[in-house]
Amino acid sequence: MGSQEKKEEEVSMEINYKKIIEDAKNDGGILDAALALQSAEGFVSERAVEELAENYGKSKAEIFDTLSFYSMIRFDTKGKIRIEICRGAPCHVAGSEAVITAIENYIGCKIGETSADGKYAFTFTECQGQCQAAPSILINDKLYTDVTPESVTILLEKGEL
Amino acid sequence: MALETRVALRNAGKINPHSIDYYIAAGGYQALQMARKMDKKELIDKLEQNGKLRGRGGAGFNTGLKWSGAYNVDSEVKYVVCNADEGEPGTYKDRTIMENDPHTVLEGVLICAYAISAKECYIYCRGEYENCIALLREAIYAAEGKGITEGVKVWVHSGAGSYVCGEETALLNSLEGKRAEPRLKPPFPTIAGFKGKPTVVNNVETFATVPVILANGPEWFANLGSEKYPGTKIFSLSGDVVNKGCFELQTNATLRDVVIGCGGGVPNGRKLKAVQLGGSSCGYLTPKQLDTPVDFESMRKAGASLGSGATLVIDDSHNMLDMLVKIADFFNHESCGKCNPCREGTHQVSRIIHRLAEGQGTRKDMDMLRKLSEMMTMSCFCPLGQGATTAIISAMDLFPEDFEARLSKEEV
Repeated sequence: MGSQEKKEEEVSMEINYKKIIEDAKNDGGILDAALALQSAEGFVSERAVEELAENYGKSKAEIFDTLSFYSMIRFDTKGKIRIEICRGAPCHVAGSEAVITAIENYIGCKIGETSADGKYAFTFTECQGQCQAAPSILINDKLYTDVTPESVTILLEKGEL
Repeated sequence: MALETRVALRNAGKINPHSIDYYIAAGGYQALQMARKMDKKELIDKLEQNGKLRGRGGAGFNTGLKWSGAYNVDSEVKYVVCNADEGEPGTYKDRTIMENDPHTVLEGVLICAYAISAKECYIYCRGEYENCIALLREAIYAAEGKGITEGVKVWVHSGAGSYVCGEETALLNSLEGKRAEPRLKPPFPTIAGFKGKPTVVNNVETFATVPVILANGPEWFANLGSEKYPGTKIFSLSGDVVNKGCFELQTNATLRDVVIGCGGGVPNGRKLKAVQLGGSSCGYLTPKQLDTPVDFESMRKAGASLGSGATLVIDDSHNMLDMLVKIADFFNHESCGKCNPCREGTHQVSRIIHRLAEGQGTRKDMDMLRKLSEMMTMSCFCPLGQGATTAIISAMDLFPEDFEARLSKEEV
């Protein structure tokens, strides 16, 4: 029983690039495929770029040329916990500056940096379209709205992200 | 005093967005059936001449005229593309439509597909709206299951974080799997769009409005709101305002109706300082201009623009420069880099605004901003660069005291 469980775990760990790309292609385009690969692997790896190139009949350079344009696509993993705060003017009016300061104080590095222990990466993101509940932040792609300096500190302290 | 007239948002909050049956029970897909019985030319003419529907994405181009452009081109293959890449800061109307009523978008797309004889349609939705993408795909499967699509194929493609994709030719490049750099116009997409074929690109709100125009009659629609920009417009309110949310008003409403009537005004006993209508690429309006009608032409006359309908309300606790830092950084980041005036211009503008906001700036910097703005408005390749300094110049004109207060002490 135990060994079978382990086997299943190993299988699920291995990423089936071809299947992910084909599944994404049924519904959408190359960006859908890249985002699906990214969510499986945590970032878009060189292997993922190779597989996309093969599937789309393009060179690796062409795939990289396209993907590197888009800010949601990552080619590396910075920080175990990625915190992104909206840079939009509505979030600013709603008090995002105080939230930025609170996050910087908690994680011990400035926005645009990765904390010394590599645990947190803190960056800006563009308008999330959640302006009715600003400021909004993303923590490992999960959206939190109506954030305050207090609520974000509690969120980070709890660590249930 | 009923301020709202809900057309594109008619089903919002009333039906289950996951269920096609609810949409059909609310009269959904009847307009599509009506359209399919009509002559294509007649259908487009009705929209163009009688309905006078103009695009709700920001440019305000006559929708019927766009459709007739694609209709008139002799081509075996044509495409319909729905622009759901809502990236203008402060805008969340398209998300509200898609989250609440994905079928109305699909119905509008299918009516257009019939009108111009397209067999393939694409909804390009920004990557941040994962939920909307899932809902739209679910809606498409349900409609296919009921035979409503009649063999017309509709796909939903995700964006991946790029503001310039809101520009229609950049969007088409992205849809083709390329970098989202805008193309030279002409040729316009109606002549040579997706994969070089005639393509109609319309905004989500535009498509969501089309079924109602057909169901209620184009004359009914033309009689709503203002004469030259008839119908309704959705405003997405944010910032220092009591009621944050989407409100749909007839286009002869005033800014006061939007900000005070629907929005409930400024909270916490503060005073209204400015309203930024249309998003970060548009200028500011002052409390004195609250009685300006919100339609396209009136706003243009007032030196502002309706844009996407994003309504950012700002109270008197803010120095505009702090907000302009965010706006300048935004355009600096989102400039696609294709043309020099925008790539270098947005970078320099951002540096200067930072300097001014941090109290290191001088009057020379302010002059330089005006020169840069003039250069960029004249020579940038697409609306991104042309509009990147609009908010800054508007703030300099309307709130010079905010700049004065931060000028470097050594200079003054």
